[in-house]
Amino acid sequence: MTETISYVGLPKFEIEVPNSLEEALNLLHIHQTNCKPLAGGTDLLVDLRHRLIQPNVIIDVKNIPELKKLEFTPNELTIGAAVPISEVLTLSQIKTYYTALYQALNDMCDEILRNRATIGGNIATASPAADTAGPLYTHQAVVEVQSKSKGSRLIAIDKFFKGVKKSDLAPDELIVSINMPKPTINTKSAFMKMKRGAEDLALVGAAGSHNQEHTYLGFTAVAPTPVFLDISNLIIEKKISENVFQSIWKEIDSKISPITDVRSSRDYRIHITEILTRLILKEIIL
Amino acid sequence: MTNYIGKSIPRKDAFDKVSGAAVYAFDIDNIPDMLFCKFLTSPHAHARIVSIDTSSAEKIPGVAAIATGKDWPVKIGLYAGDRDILAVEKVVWIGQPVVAVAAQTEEIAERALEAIEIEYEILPAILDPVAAKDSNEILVHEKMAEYGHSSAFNPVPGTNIANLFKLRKGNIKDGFSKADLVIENTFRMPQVAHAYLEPIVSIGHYCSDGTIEVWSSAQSPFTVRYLLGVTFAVPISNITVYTPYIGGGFGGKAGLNFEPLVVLLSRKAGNRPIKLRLTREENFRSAPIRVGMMAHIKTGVTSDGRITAEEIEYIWDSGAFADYAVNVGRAAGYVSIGPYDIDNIKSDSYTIYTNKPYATAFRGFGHMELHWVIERQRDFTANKIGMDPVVFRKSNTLKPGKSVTANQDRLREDAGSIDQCLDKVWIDLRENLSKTSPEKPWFFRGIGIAGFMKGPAQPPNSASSAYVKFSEDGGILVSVGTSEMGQGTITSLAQIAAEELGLPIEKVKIMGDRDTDRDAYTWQTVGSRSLFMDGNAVRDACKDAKGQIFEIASQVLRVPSEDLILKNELIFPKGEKWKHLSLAELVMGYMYPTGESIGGPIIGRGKYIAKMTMLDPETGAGKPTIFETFGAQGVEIKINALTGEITIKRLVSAFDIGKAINPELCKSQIIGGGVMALSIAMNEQLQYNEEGNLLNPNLVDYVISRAADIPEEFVSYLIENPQEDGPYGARGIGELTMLGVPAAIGNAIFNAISVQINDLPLSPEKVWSEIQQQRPELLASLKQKIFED
Amino acid sequence: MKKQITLTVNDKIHEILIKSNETLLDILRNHLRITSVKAACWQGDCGLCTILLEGVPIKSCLVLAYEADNKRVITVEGLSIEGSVSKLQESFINNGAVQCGFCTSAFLLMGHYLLKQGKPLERKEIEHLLNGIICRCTGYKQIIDSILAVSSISSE
Repeated sequence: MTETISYVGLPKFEIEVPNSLEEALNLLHIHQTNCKPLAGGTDLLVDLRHRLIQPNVIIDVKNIPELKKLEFTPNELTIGAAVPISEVLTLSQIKTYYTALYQALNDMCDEILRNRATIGGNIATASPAADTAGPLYTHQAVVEVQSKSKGSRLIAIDKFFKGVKKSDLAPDELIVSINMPKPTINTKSAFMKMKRGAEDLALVGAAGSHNQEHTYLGFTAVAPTPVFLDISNLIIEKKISENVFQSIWKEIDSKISPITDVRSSRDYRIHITEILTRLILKEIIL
Repeated sequence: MTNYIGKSIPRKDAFDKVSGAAVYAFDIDNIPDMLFCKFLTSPHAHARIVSIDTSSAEKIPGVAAIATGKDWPVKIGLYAGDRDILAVEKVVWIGQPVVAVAAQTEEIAERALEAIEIEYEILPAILDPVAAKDSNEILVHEKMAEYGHSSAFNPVPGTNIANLFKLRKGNIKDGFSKADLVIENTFRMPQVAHAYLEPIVSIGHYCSDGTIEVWSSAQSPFTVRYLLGVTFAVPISNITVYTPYIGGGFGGKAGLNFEPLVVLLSRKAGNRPIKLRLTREENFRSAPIRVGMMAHIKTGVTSDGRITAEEIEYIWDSGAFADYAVNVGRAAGYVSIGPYDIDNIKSDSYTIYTNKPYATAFRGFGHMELHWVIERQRDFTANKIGMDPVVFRKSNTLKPGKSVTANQDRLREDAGSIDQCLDKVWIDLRENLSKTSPEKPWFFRGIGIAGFMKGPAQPPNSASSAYVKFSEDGGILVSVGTSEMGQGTITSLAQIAAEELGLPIEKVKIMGDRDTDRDAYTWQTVGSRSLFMDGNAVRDACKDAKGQIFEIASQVLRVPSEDLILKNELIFPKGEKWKHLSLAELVMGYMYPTGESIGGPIIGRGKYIAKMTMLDPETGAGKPTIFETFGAQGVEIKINALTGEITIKRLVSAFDIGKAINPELCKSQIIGGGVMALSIAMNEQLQYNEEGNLLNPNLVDYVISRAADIPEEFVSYLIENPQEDGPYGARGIGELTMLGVPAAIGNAIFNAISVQINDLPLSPEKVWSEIQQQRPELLASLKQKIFED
Repeated sequence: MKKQITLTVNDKIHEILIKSNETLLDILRNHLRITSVKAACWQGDCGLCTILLEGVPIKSCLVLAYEADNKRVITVEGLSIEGSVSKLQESFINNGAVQCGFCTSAFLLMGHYLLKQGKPLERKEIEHLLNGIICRCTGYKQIIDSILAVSSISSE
């Protein structure tokens, strides 16, 4: 439907500001599809203004302690769903151990929006181009989700995305945190995205991680959901011949299905996916 | 020795703007009884309006009035009366305003829009300007024969041709027969948006006494005033237009935009003021944009580099209305071949209607577009005949005394030098080209250059005026009609006045806002005309004031006027500065010690009118502009051949501007215009689907350069070969700073990787796709190198 | 739903009655008439609505008004000290960083924030940090020059 009205204001809604996880889950349980959680609002408010969604209730989740955790324990990195990206970037271990995620976060939206945008919001919106999705997979992230009806649930990131802007979340489920195990020594990871200019959404996003046991690749903006591949069995030694690459590319090509849209053509996306894959493999393996 | 000419004094409006005090139309909210307007737009590119039902909307509390096209079905337009204020019989593009609501708040107005029902009968639409030019079946304006139009333009009823401008010189057949080589190319670029940051805002008040007042973010308040008078049959002196500081215009606010709509709605809403403020999406889809262009060019050249003939067809995609685009087609038409001297020329410049957002003026007025064609063709040709690109150009550039383009006036002796500009840029580019190899084998370096010229496109009777009035302490107010939209001309005009009247700049006041009752008239703030024309008017006004001052002083001091000089706020006879009078003693009238008073408050007045002619409708001959500013721009680029990404390492520019009144302001135009042109060249395009719906009406998918996209190094040369009839020798610069950038980049791409790209924008995908088509083996081999490296 | 909030702007305390669907941008411009805060896109792309909230730059069109309850906001008026201009504002004037002025407030606040971090700044770094705000007139270079000029004075 072609737009005939361009709205400047937001639609009407009530705001709830729960102070505890229990309170938040109760609200979600009551309102179900009539409510939306609000973290940074950098996606939500845009959708509201364009009337793409019109929930009756907005639930601000920024006061819930469990969603604000940011800690690196000996075994695990926990990032609360509502921690702003600029705050996540202050944790020095992100750059050292989770390089792909660091590179994605550092280039996401812009410096000002990074003071509000969150990883929880990024994956909840579940855009096919979600910058964090690829890196989270390469770091083997698990999403902790809670609700009144199903209690606590852990969803591996490669089971999280179900379709364009669709995740595995039930209407009353709330993302609490995103957790990643501490990577083994000598793990290298990287993230690259193709943009039209200095500040842009990804035309293609690519991430990879590699150590002696595993090699993971993640791609965004090339299919209705992020595409994840475990190519550990294709990487046998610490070099990449053109033959090895072709077998990897065959795997990737079979899983991606990029479209032509306002940002890019299908052909260019396929080409760039190949180039980024080569560059990332070189970075993490060689 | 001058005090202010050539000095980079800080802008007069800088303090207002850094302190947050500057007021824009966007900020005006305090007009008593004001209502807010929102409009409903057409969802179809071409459709007949069958019915409009506003009955439910009218009942919503807080709705003051609802207007449709039938409320005032007068056609408006700058050069052709082709535009509806609100669509009357049919809609001609997706985004065209159809119904407007005035309400207490924007929110109520939005709810009212939701309650309006419109029935359409969809008609076939035509989106491609090339197809539209030849189509007799799908007509955007089937009633074209009924439209009034300026005699300078030639619409063709029964077609989609809003104007055809013809240029003819010599004998084109003969010209080609003399050539050793004939080179043909087609060049294209899409419509683009101005994307000025302050959205369009207009406040209209049709007062109960039949007068009209308007506040608007508009570059040309006097034109707005005039056309409102024509549209509403109100005497011009009963109309007042106020334009505060403008948050960017670039030609997009040069004409008449939404002022008639708010005035119409005000009339219907009990004569209350109505404010319309566009959202960014509305600014992309419902407000006018820049023409798209397709050109086919054929150049005949001898093997030793002399161009013998050039034949060009320009097709301008004007969208649904012709607005300024007929004049863009005309202006590009009378230049056609760029800053060159060619004996045989045949050029046809068509302005074409299509069912898309309509085109208005855009910085460069067809000249950035035409120089993409010409300067790419020059490099193409130079390459084919094995000549250095600048040596080839200089073998053909305009020299004083030669006729400009087609039997137009001969180029003045003091017109400035295109050759000096080309040399400066080319030497700098070549001397500073990095000698080290790029860090990866898939990066390539290249340099490219483009030369160009432009003068103001204006009617032959375009005029400027100014007045200067004094306050008791000898300070002045300079009144001009030029608007302040960021270009800073008013500061230079203040400098001219300070210089002429020997005043410190702090005592020269010039208003940053415009008021058509208060201010001296100028035709429009467009075309790089303001410094030249308003500057001459200001000098004239100052001379007039000085004459009046000297007349009084001569009586008091008992010296002939010719012996007097004005310096540092004192008037004294040459060589006898102790016999002085101060300005303050005199500017309100002079009182003798015994009380008799002579003279009176001094008001100096000045004017300047253009020296041009109409152009012959068959050949284009005549005098189309008051000056040509010559320039050249060059770039050093780095291409990532694997992704198509281009990094601009250096942007080198040279302009022969005659005299830089304020060099810092010139530099600001050079950097700002350069980056704007770069942005357009690399990434900007309005993208439509097959229905004609604009797919990227926002600042995320309409990609504009950010801080990290700019060249690493800017070099600017201001060449000063003065033009005798310009103020202190000055010519204009505002648009010139855009004109060569796209072609320079296109030429640099060929220099770097031997790939010819003829279409803009040069997005990474475009560059990759051309490499893929023209040199697939290059890409294949580079891909392998990634692992080897 | 209407709610009363308390908001400190440039050290002045305000009590404002807001609606749940109003943004911080709405209340700064419409309720408090602080017109230095501009807007050009209303969806976080242009950056002109940038202000400092608790000292941190955010785009006010994407923050709901109620979130600013009991918080401190700084706009460009808060940079001027008793009628005179700050070093950064003066630098903007002297380095040609101002043309139409519509983006100036946002860049001043962002520049002010970057300078306050106390770290020495490099040109490339500043470019990356300023990507969130669009300028159509100046081409950015002189804005970056202005910030660098103050940065190098402070580090002397």
